[in-house]
Amino acid sequence: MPELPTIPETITVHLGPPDTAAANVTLSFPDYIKNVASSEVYPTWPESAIRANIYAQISFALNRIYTEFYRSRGYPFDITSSTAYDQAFVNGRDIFENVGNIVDDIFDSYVRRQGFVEPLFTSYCDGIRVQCDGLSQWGTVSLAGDGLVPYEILQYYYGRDIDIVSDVPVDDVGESAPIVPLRIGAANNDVALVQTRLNRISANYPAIPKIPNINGIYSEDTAAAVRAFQRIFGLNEDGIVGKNTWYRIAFIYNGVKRLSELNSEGLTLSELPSEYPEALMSGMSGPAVRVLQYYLSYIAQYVSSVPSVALDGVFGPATREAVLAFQRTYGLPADGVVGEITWNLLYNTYLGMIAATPIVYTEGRTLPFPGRNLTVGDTGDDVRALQEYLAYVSRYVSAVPTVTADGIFGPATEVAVREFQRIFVPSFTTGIVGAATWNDLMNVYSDLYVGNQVREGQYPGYTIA
Amino acid sequence: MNTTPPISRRLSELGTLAVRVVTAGGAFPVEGADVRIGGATAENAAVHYLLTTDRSGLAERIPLPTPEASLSQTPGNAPGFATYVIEIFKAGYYPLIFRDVPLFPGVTSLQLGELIPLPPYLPEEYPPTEETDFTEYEPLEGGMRRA
Repeated sequence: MPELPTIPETITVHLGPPDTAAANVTLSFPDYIKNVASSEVYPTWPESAIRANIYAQISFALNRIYTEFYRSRGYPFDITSSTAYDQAFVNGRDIFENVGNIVDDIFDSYVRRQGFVEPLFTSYCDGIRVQCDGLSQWGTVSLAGDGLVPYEILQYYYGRDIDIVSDVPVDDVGESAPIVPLRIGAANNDVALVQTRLNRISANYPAIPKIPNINGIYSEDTAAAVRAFQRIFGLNEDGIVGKNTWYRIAFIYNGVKRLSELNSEGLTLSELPSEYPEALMSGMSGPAVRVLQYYLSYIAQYVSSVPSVALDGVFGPATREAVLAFQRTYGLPADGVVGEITWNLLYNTYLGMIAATPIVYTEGRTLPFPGRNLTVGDTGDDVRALQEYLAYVSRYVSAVPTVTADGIFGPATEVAVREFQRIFVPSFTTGIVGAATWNDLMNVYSDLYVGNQVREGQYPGYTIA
Repeated sequence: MNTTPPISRRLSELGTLAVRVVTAGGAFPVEGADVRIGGATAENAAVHYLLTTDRSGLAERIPLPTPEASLSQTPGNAPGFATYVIEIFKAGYYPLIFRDVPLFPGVTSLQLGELIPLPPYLPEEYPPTEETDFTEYEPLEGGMRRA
């Protein structure tokens, strides 16, 4: 008996016809449908017409996934962006807000033939330049104008014996959305889950206020955090967690968590040498391959055309595919072999990503000297990083005053640099950060960081209130 | 400097553009990115905005001239949208350029800019400007050609 269809968390789209050497991008399923819907229909159409088209687009994509149309033929993707084979998808394009709101509302629904479980192959065409057996896009506009609702429009094209299945479970996002929207006065485990996730997301999105009590009670604090989240992510700012907000929180939370998990794995890997080991290729295994997989997976969090791979230390087909994708994205000859140029670019790309991440999320990792002396009047991310490292050191070394990480090298930063130099680099109290001071700061930071990690079961050194 | 959008005979209505800038696939917002918006064709070439993102990565939502809604209600008309160019810059990242972003009357277009950090050291120029090119973007014309 076939498994019941579910909504995948992500979908991988090949940006061209199947047999071309185009990139594969992976994005969340609702974001994919928003892109398709914005590329296939006009946002000024009647809402019933837009909804009917979106049901068809969702069912079409789910049919491709459920039947493993491309995967079963050996392709490393679920669908293509080519309208000759599948539906239009324009990587990176803008999304129409009204279309996006409808997708948020119905992305966990699809059309099926009565008596069948599989999502219907809902073929469609524009109905003017191209005619087909399925739905006519322009035809839906006339039918909506005649007062037909989306289900009736779909029946008109696909027959009366169809169902729209809704509230289909979504993979890998934990709990499904609660049936009753969460609002002030609600008290249950779903509220506690929302509170926990919003607090985690707010570490990266500081405009979301912290919820002081994770207690499962939907307080005014919770509603305020929900409203701030909704404002940032373009949702209706009602302070209520309905299906749209629930799933958006789940998707953003997953992204935030994946990056921090990779960052914590980097701590042990950072002790491995970053120098080019030897040419790495299919069939090889060992620690160097694992480091390679780590770099690829880290880069995958930033670059949607590079897939994430398992850190198993074995250079198999998935690793080769990721290496090819990296080489194509960064304009290197795509041979799937990690020679010195590919390795160095991988390592440097990874370093650039670490440098762009505030140090509180990079779990004790250090940055190489930025390549310029930092002094009063300088600004930029390298100054911000300097300030973050100084601020960390000042928590444990009271002589070093704390500084605000604003990216501006002002007098307070200079005082902190001088104090740091007075204690750790006494021959060099210039207040200017050159390579020597930078490297000493990294060493002191790293020692303090590792020394302050409390291991599981370890007495933390203070009384727990 | 921001300019007031001119109202041409064809561009008689308004849509809204909202830009959000992130990195790490949305795990972090990008504050302080410069967002430049300009008309992509002769009819709106005088439109120009320069915005900066806030700590949530959001640029101010701005109204932009579009044609009237009736053009996109029936097939065979002149384009029912106006197109704009959006450029996003932030030191330390590859610049982003979006060409021919369509704006429809009464509709908000949401443009997400996913910035990718630059590698700190490069032996040569890799890669060329990260660009998304919509110059061949046709939402319906050309439509579905499935067998």
